[in-house]
Amino acid sequence: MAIRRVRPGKVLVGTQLSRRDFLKISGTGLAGAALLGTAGCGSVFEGGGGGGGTMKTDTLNINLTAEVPDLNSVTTTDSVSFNVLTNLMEGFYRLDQNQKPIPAAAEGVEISSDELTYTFTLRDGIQWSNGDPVTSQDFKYAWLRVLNPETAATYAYIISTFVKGADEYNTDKAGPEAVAIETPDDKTLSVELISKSPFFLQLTSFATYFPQQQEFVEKMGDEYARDGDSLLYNGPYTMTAGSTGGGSTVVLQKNEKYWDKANVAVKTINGRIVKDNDTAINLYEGGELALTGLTGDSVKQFKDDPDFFRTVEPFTVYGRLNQKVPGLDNLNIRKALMIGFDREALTDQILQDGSVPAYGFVPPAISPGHGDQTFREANGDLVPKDVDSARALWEKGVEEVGEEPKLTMLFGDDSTGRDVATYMKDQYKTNLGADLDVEIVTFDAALDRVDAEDYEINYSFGWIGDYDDPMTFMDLYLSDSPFNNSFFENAEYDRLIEEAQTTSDLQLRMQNMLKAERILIEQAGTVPVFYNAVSGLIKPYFKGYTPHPFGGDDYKYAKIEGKS
Amino acid sequence: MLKYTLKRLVNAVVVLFIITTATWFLMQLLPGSPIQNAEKLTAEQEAQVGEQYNLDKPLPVQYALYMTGLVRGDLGNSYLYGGTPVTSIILDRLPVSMFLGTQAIVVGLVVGLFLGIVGALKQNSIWDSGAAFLAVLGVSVPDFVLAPLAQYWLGLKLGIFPIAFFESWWHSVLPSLVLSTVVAAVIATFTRTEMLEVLGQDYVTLAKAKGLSKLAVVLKHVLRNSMIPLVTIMLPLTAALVTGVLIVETVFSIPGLGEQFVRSIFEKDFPIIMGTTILFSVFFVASYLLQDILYGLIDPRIRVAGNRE
Repeated sequence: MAIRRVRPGKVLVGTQLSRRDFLKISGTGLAGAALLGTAGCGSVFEGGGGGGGTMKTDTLNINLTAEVPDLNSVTTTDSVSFNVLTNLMEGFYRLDQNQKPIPAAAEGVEISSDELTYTFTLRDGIQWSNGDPVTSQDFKYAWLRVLNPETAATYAYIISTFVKGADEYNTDKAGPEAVAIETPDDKTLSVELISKSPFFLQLTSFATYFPQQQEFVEKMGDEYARDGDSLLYNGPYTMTAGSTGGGSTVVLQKNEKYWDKANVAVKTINGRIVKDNDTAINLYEGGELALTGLTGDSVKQFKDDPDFFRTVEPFTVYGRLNQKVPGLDNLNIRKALMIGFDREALTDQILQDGSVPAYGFVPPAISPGHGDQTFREANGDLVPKDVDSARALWEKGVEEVGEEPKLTMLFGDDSTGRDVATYMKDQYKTNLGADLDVEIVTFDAALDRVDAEDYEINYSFGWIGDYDDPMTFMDLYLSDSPFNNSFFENAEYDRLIEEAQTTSDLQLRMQNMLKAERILIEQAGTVPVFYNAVSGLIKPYFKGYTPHPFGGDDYKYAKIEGKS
Repeated sequence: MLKYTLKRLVNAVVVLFIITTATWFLMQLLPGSPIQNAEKLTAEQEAQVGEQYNLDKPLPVQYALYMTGLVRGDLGNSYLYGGTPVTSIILDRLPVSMFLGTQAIVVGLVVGLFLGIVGALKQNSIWDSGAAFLAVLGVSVPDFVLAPLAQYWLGLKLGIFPIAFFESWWHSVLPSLVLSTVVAAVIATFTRTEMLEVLGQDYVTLAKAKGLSKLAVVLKHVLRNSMIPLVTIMLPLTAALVTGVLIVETVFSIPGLGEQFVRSIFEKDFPIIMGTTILFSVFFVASYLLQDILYGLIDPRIRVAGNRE
């Protein structure tokens, strides 16, 4: 999920290249491929993978979109690996089809009265694919491996932010014994959290929290998780073909040692590697893929197709106004910039990829909120929709500042970057009468500059939530957050969020976050632009498709119905 | 001759060294971080991860580390693919690209020669115009247009060829055909021009006057003499194929090197970028070396010039 660089209009479902991105690279005409000489015939072909052309009725062909980068649950970070690993492994809990955590490797959990200690009990008789029992030490071993500074796991924070002592070990300030994980016996693991985290059960379904067997991992050494033979499985599927970095099909076969195998309907999943979206669409139409994502223009083309689906992700793309820049320290100027452009026209006419205009910071896909309402429903649309009201704010701001500030908008040059840049410039000219400059650099250069706070205004990036709770967004704007690179500082905001992070009163926690988001928008500390959506095509015979927005695609619930 | 060859060999090593060094330092100028998920890490976390990949060391030290590894034949491990050795990734994919490229060159050579000969022998006939038309089309329609069109019509709509993938020889036909168009077109135009020139030579008139059959004249005298310059254009043609391979492999989902190379640049997987660049350079330098030596063998004048120094 995280390799998906947070960019507007960028690839959906994995890291597929758009044809335009692709031409940019191939156009540079880099050195050549070895084309002469004799190649061993026969051996170069994949030999039908696990399914070849047409699909059998117990087999699903899906598009992985890219080679699998890393199947080591301890270090992996990207959506392609997550889509595979979610089906091979299982944590204490697994998300169901409604994204609610249900007991998986654990038969249940006991939560202490202060809600800081979670004691998991493993299910009886659960096994690794080699027949060894899955034990609580397997979990402890894997979690500590994530935190070990030498592992250099980039997802370590998803454990170290929540588990007591984990950050100390991860930053080399203490040894592994500082981490508050206990395994009194083979069946029990208890873990102590830093603060109340109502989403912790859901976190245990995340790949970074999967178990690993120490004996096997050490036996494999550097070869661990390179291919199907160098992995042990405790999930619904095993991997019988494919390798990390390998270009051939990844084949998943139902795991006969899986405790819940009676509820796994599809025997074989073929993960095909199709990078070009147009190719994927052709294969889908030719019946060789049951599921594929859609990017850019093809979303528009297929949006009325009966097979079309769209999911809005927990992913907000938002603008940053650097408050260290003269002019942007003025509230009215910031508000004018926040209000003064038409978001509907941006998503419907410029992006056209199914994205949804954003009038709040926390995306609608975050489910906890107030009572039955999601966070977004509870706070409603916070950014005023009256674009015309922005001009008065701008003029007032200019008067307060004394002169019209000369501002430059920085954009990353991805597939839609230039179009968005032109659009924003034109909107501010029309709606505010303001003449802003535009600077376009490569996407990565823009990212570096925003990180270094060397920019004035930027609209290129967003944030993908890590877990289903508003906090995954709200803590970004704490004044000392490393991700707050627009110098937003508000004492009341800090107080509300810090209280929410420590209080045991869940009502208060949510009220504080709702209040804080209102402050953030009132102060124009951030400029919500749109909520990113994923679009795709799915064959009618493929039932029970379950993508987890905070994890991978889950085929445990997949069924094939009515396919001849 | 030996001295000449040795000298060229030393030159080749120097060229490779310069390419490797230049690529390595240019790569460092790429914006962004090679660390996965870097967008979500604090500066401190990022630095800590970088340490594991020696990214915290000064550039000259990193460079020295890389070059000493290289001398030992160690291309390092991929950043993106969980530390998989670069050599195993490349060796996995090299045969696929080589097969595709070789097949495309062979097909292009055969088709191009045929069109060229027909064009020259039946000059200004409908055959000639037809061949010329095909040649112009082949050169001017780029692979990134031709490949998707061929896939859509011949693969999906007419169902003659598989839409994508690389599972049998039959799967390799359409991509090879697409790749071979440029080769065929260039060779056709070239052969036609060369042949027309040779056809006007005195020795051809003599051969005809001697009463040789038309076929014998074409095969023994015309074709053979037109072929010599062809050696010269085969190399640039192969280079032109490379860009094609990048596109064709991606469009047809073929697990070759070209497709992987593109991804490694996007992901800033430095070891893979370096490994692939070095491989491509070795290939090019070796081809040029071979060409130079061949010239020396074929044409004594070149060899003599080399010896005089």
